[in-house]
Amino acid sequence: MAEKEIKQIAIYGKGGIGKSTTTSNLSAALSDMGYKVMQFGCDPKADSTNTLRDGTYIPTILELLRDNGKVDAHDAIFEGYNGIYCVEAGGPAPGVGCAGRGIITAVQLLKQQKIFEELELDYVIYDVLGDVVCGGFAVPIREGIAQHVFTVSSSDFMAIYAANNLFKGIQKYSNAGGALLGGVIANSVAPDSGYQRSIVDDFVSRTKTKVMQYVPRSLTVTQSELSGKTTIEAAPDSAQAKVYRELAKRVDEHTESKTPNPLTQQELRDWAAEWSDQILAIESGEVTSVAAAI
Amino acid sequence: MSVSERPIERPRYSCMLGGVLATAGALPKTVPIVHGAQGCGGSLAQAAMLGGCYGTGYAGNAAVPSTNIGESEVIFGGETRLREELESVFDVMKGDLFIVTTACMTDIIGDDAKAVIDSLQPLPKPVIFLEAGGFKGNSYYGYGRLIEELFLQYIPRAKKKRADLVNLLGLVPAYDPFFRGDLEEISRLLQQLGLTVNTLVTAGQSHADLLAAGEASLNIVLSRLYGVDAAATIKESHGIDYTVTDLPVGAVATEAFLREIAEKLGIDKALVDRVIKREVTSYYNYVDRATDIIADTDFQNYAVVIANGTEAIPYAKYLDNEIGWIPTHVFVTDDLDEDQQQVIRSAFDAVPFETSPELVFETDTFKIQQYIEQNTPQFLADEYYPTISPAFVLGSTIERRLAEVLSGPFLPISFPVYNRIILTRGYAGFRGGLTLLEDLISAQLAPR
Repeated sequence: MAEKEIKQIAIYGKGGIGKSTTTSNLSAALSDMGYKVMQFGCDPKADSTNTLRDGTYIPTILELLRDNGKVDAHDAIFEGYNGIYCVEAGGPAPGVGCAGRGIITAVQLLKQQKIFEELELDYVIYDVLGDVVCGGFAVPIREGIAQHVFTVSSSDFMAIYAANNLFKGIQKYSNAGGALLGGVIANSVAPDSGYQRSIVDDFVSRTKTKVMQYVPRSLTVTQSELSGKTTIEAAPDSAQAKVYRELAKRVDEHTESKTPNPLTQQELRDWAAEWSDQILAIESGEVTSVAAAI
Repeated sequence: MSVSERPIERPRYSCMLGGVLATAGALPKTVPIVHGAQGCGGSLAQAAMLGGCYGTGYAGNAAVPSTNIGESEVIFGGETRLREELESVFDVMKGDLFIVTTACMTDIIGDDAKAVIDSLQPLPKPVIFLEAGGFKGNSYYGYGRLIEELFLQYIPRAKKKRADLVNLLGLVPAYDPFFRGDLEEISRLLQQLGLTVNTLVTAGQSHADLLAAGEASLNIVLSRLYGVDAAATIKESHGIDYTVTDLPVGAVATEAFLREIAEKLGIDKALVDRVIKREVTSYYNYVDRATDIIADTDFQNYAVVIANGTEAIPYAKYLDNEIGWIPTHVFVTDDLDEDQQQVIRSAFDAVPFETSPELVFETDTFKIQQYIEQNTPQFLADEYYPTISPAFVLGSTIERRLAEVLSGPFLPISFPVYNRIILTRGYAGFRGGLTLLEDLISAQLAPR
């Protein structure tokens, strides 16, 4: 059996920004395109794949490891929507142990057992928790795991800080064969959202990357999630599903990722301060050339 | 000068946990318990064996119980495993004091070991806890931290002090290989001045002695570097004053030491004179015996001393001031920061050397040899230069090669020392000075 190229993607972003929602819809859309997809949740909360499985939780790799001492990867893989393989790394309870080590262990376990090749996957998508706070959370972007990283960010400064931190992580590993940055998925940012889009656009231009898709806020997403499904599954004909399908198409066509150019701490602070001034001016009704440009 | 910092081979100390375990294993009826990965306890037992075949003792070294955590505990936390281990240890091991320590791995993942201990109340015996992740420092640092916690968590704070009670600090079990002999000799001498002496870590010490340590009126720190921070903490917590001195080796140094301590404690000068006279007379009576062989064997030597910050200067001082040798180099082998190096430099400058040796801070065995070869004229040209060889090497066992290069006898006296077993032997005090003389002469005679 000739080994086929598996496209491995890691999706990062600040907690609560919509990573799992975006990842699950991306997985669902890629699956609809005929690809064999695995979604790998790398978050101790283990809820990345819920909407691919009607809102249900699955046993995690680390739970199986803890209970049995060893894990056969097959026992940790569960099929979800349209045959998507769902895996959750899992991790310790909040405040104990080392979640980062958990991610390393879980990712290595699947890699060692050559499960991706066995399942003849086209895509493995890692949905990784929040900030890259320690080495464990950087595992998917280190050599030999993912090739492309996409970061989900809104126009909130905290989300952008997290994205910038991720860029630092990518830059660090870029010389050692690590994953490179594909781009930013602007979540809760409509293409016509005025300064919100401008903030994200400005950030990606300064850090020398690009926006993969603007994903507006949508009630359809909330409704779909409440029914335990992705938007692709629950509302395939909705405008929002179209946005996700477009994203999937761009991800599928994306071949060349790059080393980002993260801002330094001071640059980021100055940049944020500059935008704060502009936003305050916009909200107080002051008309300036910048606001006019938006 | 400092040639290099951290050696990558043949280290001359182990980690903080190593110092904690070696020290805990020397305390009377004490059971250390390691909450750490598989390997910490065993490897550190082997490391301590390099301190003159240190051995297990009551429940130290090879007998130290450990949680031996694995990957599952690293990920999910090891507190459950620690609880299980503590319950088992309390059940099966007899001890008057338990010392629970964390190690690198459990400190990194942030296990709350203290909370686990607290949840096991009532504890069957006193339990001391300290975080001892090896990355925090070396074994000397570990010694100091354990002594601090021993006082803070176990030894009662006594308001009323006993004028005749002193504690000895500063010599680190195993890592100062002659710690027992040295402490026992210093105790013997101080006892003659009417003092009661707690060494904490030698045979014969009991928990009654440990618990009484808070009543001492003076902590005597026999190292310029180690145990000094602990003594400062204890001064604050227990109100015990402290004095920092060099380890006295030989008659000259020991007489000065006894006078210094006696003055601090206000001991009757007539008594001090009597004790010193008796000791000095006995000392030189033995030295007198040795003069025949000394005279016969052209005993005056060049020497290189290689030892830690506690021992290096006292040995060099003994060689120069007491037996008339010419120490050419003193290598201090600890990994010291600038402030610590300054402490050593000051102590070194205060020694009235007849011919002052060169003081070098270097831990790497190869670089020590290289330093001598590259800075000594005899190695730079074939003739017309004064030579220092044959030079006697007083160092650790790993200095054997240097001794060959310098074509002189060799006496292993500093950690790691694994080609001799050290039990009662010590080089401090009057008797220790004589023992050192014996060993130096014997090393010279050994090839006969």
